[in-house]
Amino acid sequence: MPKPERALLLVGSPRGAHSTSAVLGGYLLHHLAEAGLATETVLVPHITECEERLQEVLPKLAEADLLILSFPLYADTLPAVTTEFMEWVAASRGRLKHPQRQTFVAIANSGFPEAWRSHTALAICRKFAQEVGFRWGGQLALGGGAAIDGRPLSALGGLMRHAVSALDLTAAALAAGEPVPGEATELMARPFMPFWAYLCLGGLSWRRKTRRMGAWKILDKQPVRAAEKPAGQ
Amino acid sequence: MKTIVLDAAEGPDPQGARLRESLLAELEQAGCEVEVFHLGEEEIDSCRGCFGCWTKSPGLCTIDDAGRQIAKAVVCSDLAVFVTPVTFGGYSSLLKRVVDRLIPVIAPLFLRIEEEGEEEPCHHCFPRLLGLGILSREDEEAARLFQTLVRHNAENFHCRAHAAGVVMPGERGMEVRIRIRNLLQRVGVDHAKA
Repeated sequence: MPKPERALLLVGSPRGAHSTSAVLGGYLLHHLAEAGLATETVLVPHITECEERLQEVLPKLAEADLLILSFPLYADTLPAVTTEFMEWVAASRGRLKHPQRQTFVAIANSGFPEAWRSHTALAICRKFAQEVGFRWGGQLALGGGAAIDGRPLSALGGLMRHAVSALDLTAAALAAGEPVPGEATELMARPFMPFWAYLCLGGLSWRRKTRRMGAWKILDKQPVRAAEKPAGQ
Repeated sequence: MKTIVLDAAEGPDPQGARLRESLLAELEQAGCEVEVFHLGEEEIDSCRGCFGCWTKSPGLCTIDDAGRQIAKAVVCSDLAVFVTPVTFGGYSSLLKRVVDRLIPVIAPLFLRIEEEGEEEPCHHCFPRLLGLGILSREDEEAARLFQTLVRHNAENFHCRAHAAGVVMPGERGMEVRIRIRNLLQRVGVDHAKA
């Protein structure tokens, strides 16, 4: 594939600029800019709010020769807002001049410790690219994304060293007009701590958050079910 | 059996109409108590990813709209049926809005099951799950993806049983009905026993 000149990052997280998806995609985009590409970022939840914003983003989509979608896993697949955006792009594909000359790359992150949990969502992304006519440029999947929690990768020390290496390799390959290297996919999927440690620390982190919000004691309550039960039961 | 149908197949599409008609006829024959949510007619906001349903008001979404009522209806049912056009192998955004809003019914803590991390259910008996997809053209890859997605949802929501199938264009009403009957049997709905 030819060397790209313009890269567009699509942040598919409802948390927008403060999300782990924005951190991962932003790191990649920064390195692509350093390699000489013109770069831009679009927050998908922001533009799906109204048709006018969607229309405004269409020229940006049409002009970019490298499209990067970075998203979190919600209920085993892409969030609803991102799906809505993809449906809209597919319906508007007649207005993309040369989708076959555009490369589409997907980066998934999830709170599950295993990166493979995102594979179905990434297969959906690939299917989307195929239906629109984009060239598939490859994928990256990160497990344990909750450890980033919207913080810059540089603030996490060596914890995310595999992810950083994966993104560095990916940036170099994409800037050279090549797809995401297999080595980058493997590095990104590599667990950054033992499985048991992630489960333990993940549990502690959620407990701390619920305690801070005063919800720890009601974590096991079933408010929806309780409302259904007759009084006294 | 209390059954909730989440219908995201909008419009006068003949495939959707055939599927809906067959599904409701089979459920009625099996003696199910059915409530249908036509998702295109509901005002449902998208999940904001705030995690308030885990940290502020566990089990309850912070957005007070129809999404909350639907989550309640699903949790209090015995069977949830997803009816949706298959979009790139997944759910349509209309159905996905509701599925994302079901996240409050699971807790953020992990359970370790067969060496894999899964989120712990806070409502220990999530209903059985049946996913019915509508394909606009024959596409085996999309059908397989759809079935995989329903299976993963069923595993992570800790459903007691699950099944999924798709309707292809050109399928006749009787074929669709037999397929739905077989899928319903797999989730424990059998009209022969009704």
